Amino acid sequence: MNDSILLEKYRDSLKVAWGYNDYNDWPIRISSIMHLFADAFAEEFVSDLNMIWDRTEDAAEIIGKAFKFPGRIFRLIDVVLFGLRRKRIPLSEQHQFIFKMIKIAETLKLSDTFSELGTNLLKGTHIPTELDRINSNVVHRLQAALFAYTEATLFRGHDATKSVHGPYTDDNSCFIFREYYNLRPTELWERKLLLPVESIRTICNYNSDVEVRVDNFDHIYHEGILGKSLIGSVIEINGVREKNDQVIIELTDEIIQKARAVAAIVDRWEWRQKAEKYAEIFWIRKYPLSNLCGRTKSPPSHVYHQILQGNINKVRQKCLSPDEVAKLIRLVL
Amino acid sequence: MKSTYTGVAVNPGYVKARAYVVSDENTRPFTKGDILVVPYSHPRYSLMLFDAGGLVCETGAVMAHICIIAGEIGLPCLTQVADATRIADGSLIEVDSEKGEVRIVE
Repeated sequence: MNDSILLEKYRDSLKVAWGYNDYNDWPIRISSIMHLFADAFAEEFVSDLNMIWDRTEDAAEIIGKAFKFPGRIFRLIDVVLFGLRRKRIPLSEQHQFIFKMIKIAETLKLSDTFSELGTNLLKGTHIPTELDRINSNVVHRLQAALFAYTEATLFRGHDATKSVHGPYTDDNSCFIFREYYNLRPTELWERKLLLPVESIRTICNYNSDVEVRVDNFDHIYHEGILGKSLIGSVIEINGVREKNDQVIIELTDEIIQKARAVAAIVDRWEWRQKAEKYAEIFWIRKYPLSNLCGRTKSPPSHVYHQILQGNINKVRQKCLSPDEVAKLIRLVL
Repeated sequence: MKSTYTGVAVNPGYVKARAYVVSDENTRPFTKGDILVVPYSHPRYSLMLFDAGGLVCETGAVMAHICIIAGEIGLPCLTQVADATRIADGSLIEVDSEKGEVRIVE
């Protein structure tokens, strides 16, 4: 695939992500505060990326392995581009950055890099041969609760804690993997606010009554009712298979309780506290790369200073129209 | 006030129940089974879904977080229902996702 086609395909996939354009982002519209830390984030990200890239020929594989899920890579591209654009980095360098990131994502994916066929298939995925008969409502309620929890704890940066891949098809059914990791980000929140588990994975096998697609940003789309189409599932908590409905129900109740508690705290904050937390979440998102370079999970101190001295961008608090989103994509790429 | 509102179906299904219209002024306790009517996606509203009978969003894409959660739970859900939050709180309403309609019953 030549460079212009690659960019075109990335641009098309981005329309989905940016077209997802809610009226009021929680806890704060990210575009209204990103100018306070995006430059530093982008500079550090590209510097780390290039350092690894120049050091070894296997850079794409090494970085891919560190991030583990391609959706994380795709979701980081446009936020770094935002910072590069602000720093007036030449377009050719921005494109080189995109190509490297896509190459990293490709090391993790089986095919369909941009999920044009509605698949997000990962290399090395093991499809279970035996499924458990956990009640469908119990499984989907757990997944819904986890989604709410990851949003409460990592805001819009929840790619650092959640990935979806599939559908892996098998005759008349398909498997969808939902992976929840970094469920105890103690750098961000007090331990008592967080779940007692580090990771949960659910594997759902659906019959053909439901059509499921997953895009390269880990969004899941379905036509039909997921709950009624579940044939069987596997739930792993901290890597250990859990078959007991009651244990899962109790865990789900705890997840809901924790999500409510965190969201209630954040709702009481003023915008600077939210901006600081967002910056910390961004550096958590970047951590697999930082770790390869011997950096910590925290933003540099000048980022906090910038937030303290800076102001919210009131113009960017409003929602963009579809036309404005399209214009922005043309500007970036 | 309109008797029928239209929107985009996120999750199929039919439900008839009282509307709980979210607003700063609405201090009425949320009753289990109420249809949640929201202006936009917010985790506070998402967490109410666990006790809701259905969801009507005034704005937001089909991938709005609250819609994804409604899809996971299996609630009848419509989004982009213009003026939905003008529905009187406590009204008896029907959500018919197949037809993309919210109808006021009383």
